[in-house]
Amino acid sequence: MRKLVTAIALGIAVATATACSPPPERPALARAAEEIVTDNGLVIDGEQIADPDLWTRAQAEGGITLYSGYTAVTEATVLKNFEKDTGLDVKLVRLTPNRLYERLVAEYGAGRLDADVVRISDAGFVSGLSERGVFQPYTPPTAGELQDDVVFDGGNYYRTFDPIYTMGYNSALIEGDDRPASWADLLDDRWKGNLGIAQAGAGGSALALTRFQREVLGDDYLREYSSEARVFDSIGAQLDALARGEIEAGTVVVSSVNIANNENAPVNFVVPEEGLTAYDYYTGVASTAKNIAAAQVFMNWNLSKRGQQVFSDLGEYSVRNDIDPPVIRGIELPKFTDPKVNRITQSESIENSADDQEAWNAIFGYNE
Amino acid sequence: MSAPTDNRPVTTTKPPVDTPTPQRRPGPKKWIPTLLQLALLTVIVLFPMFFIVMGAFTDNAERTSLFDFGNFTLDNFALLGSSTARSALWNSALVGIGSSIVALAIGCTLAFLAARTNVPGRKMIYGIGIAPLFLPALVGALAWALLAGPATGYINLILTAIGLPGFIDIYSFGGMIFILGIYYAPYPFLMVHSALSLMNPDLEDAASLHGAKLTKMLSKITFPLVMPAVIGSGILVFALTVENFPVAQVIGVPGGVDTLPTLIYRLMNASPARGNDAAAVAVVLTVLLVAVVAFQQRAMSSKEYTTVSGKGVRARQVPLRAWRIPAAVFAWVYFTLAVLLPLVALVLAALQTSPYVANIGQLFDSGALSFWGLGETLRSADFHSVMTNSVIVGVATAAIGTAFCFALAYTRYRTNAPGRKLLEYLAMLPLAVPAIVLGLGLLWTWLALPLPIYGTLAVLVIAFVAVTIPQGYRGVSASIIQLDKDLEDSAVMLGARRHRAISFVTAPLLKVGLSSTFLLLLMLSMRELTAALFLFTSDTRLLSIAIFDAYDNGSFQSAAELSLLYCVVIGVLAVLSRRFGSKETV
Repeated sequence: MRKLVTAIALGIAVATATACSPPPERPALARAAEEIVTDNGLVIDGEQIADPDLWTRAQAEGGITLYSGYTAVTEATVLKNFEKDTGLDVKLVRLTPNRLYERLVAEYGAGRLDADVVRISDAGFVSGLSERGVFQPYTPPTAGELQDDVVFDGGNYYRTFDPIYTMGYNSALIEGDDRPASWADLLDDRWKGNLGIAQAGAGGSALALTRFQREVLGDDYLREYSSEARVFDSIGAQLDALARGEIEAGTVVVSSVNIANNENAPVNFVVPEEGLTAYDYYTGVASTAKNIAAAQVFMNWNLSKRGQQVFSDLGEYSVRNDIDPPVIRGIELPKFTDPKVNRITQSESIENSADDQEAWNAIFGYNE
Repeated sequence: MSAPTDNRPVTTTKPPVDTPTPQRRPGPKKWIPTLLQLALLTVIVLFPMFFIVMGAFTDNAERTSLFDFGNFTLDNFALLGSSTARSALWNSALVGIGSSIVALAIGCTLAFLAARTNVPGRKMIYGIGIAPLFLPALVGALAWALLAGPATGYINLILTAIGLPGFIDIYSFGGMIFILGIYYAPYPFLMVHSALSLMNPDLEDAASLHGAKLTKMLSKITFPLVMPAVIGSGILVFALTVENFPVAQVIGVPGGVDTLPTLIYRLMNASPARGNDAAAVAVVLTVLLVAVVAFQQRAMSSKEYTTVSGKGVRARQVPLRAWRIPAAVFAWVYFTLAVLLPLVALVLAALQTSPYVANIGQLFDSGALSFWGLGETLRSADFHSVMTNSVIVGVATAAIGTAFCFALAYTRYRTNAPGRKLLEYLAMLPLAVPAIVLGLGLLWTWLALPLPIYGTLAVLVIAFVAVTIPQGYRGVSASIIQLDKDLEDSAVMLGARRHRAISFVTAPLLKVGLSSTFLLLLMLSMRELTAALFLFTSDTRLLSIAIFDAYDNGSFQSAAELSLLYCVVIGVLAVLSRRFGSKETV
């Protein structure tokens, strides 16, 4: 027995010694800031992110607590850039938007909300939170060159970026001509049992996709898709199944595919002929914020050219007019104003969400 | 120490004899400890249930304040008529029955082999019987998803490599039953093993003396005598598997098999959350489990008088003859399926440099496996934080739980305080309340109560004490009823105050029992996931939560890395506890 243990220990030691070298350096997903100057407040790439007074107060606070529903790995990459640029810490409470909303409502109702900044998708959620008084109005001085429909409820919260929801495939399993080019391609018998989709109740993203699919592709499309697909509780779980080859194709968010691809996962996305959807991600300073200055710096950075470039580099649409559409894994995304891009506006989303959710549940036989 | 269990005790004790010290009727001052204990139990057990029941019978889904329940309604129960709920109920029952049968078949066979036969390596077989207890069901489920995922599961890749079609799909009804069956087999194993080992050999000897053949003796005497243990453990496994959340979520949901706990979780995760519907399902699940646990208690209460001898005589050994080798092979196959293969799968997944494996040969390519990621995780501040939280919560739960259980058991069996039977009833109540329901109720409770506990580790300790209190209470009360009360009373008669007599006489004499309970609660809380699901925040994540989060956020690889480290932490605790336990018993 002792010999066996020694042999195993020796084997592990040898394996450890030979397999402990770091993997090849992966390219940074978002380009770094070109210039950061802190002589007179905080200036990044020539843009004033914080004036001296705000900068001093923010540094004294040290950082913020962010409650976010944004995909975990993508948020982590954004925050890494923010922390590197500003030196401020971000304590992240990350939950899927639906769970986050429930927690925000419960904590705020009980007077226990610790958030300085709240980031959430789903128009219904964010307007509900705003009505309850979860946000406080703030106008970031960096909020220039904005598109329409970015500032809501008098500056209570901002559309900060728009993730791109489309379809994707496992690039190790699907090659060449087999790659799907359109949503219609996925209805081919060849994909039966190998498709995935995230449930419509997962948050604003899934509801936006449902709106797009119902409006552009039709309920019959969804019905047929439902008979071939596995339903996942979250987009993250679906992407992992896609990367591991448990499914071969499914609905994906571009930024998540970009990050997974950077970590060796054989996944890629498609800009389908019928188009894709973009859904709003909102950010606002919480009315309960204790670190107000740091929260304001965070908002300023998010809406600055630098912050918006980070979002674009990761694979999200910027809300500014002076940032180009993302180019991800060699694929140039259509302009935000291109007819192929179906952004679901806040009013559209609120108007249809209950009906879409119900229809989706009925089609997929889910949570009925 | 007692072997760690998941949610329920695995050993039964003699039905306690209610013989309090005859004393005068206690004055109001003596009620204070009992009232205090009742108040604590009310807060940790009854309040959560109150919120669940109120949620189930009221119509206000979006409360502006926590006591704003709205109007009384039965509409929430309408959900139970839906096809989703009906199939979840049906699936829960079938999964419970199926996995109980699998667990009983494995557990009872191993128990018989280890307790009564001449199978080769008998002592090892006892270890095999309890080994899966050290692998939390969540970890087992994740590992089996890696092993037998339909497309790229390692087993399927091996089958494909040798020219067979990869046909094993763990994401199925059968897969769920298999996993729950193998990870709950230790429960029947321990209960039946104890019954077989303690069995009075007189009846068997009598049968032999009267000329009965071995098989007849076994079928007419031995097996009927252990039947209560078999039935009791079967019902217990049924209750545990019906309320199991991790396996149902990781294996069942991807395969389209919903159960009641996953339905509750999903209703809470709907957009917007359907808390009242979830509460209605929770009430149904609790009622179902109350009935099942009542059956279990009944089945077990009839066990003792038939099997416990107390004579210290060993029951006779059954020669297996030609079945010796197949029996040993059976045990080792079980060990391979429940422990070895899952650990290998976790190691491979944790070391893979790409999440995708096209064929098994790819794993042997240069650079396909690396310890780098595992090393990074080990060094990461996040891992240190979740591990520290787990250990703090585990130790605090064990310490507070043991002290509280001692107080409860002492009040129940050493005093004639009014309400002591109610105390026992409340202490045993969480046995029938599914952990997911308790967690949900505790979330609403601690958001409502004006104490700044929500969002701290304290709320997790409270949740885990609530979940594990039946086990702790049983452990301590089993020891306390075996201890003669005269020793403590003598100290009092010689002039010591009662609390000094308890501290210096009773508690030291119960040292072994209390330390076993401490270690049992420590292991149980290290494994607990479900009760914490609605209660954690980013500052208070535990190892189990971090694994579930990694899975939920779509990173099997992180989940595998953390699972491996989780097993190491639990393993270290198990080894420490064995050493500690043996010292205590010397």
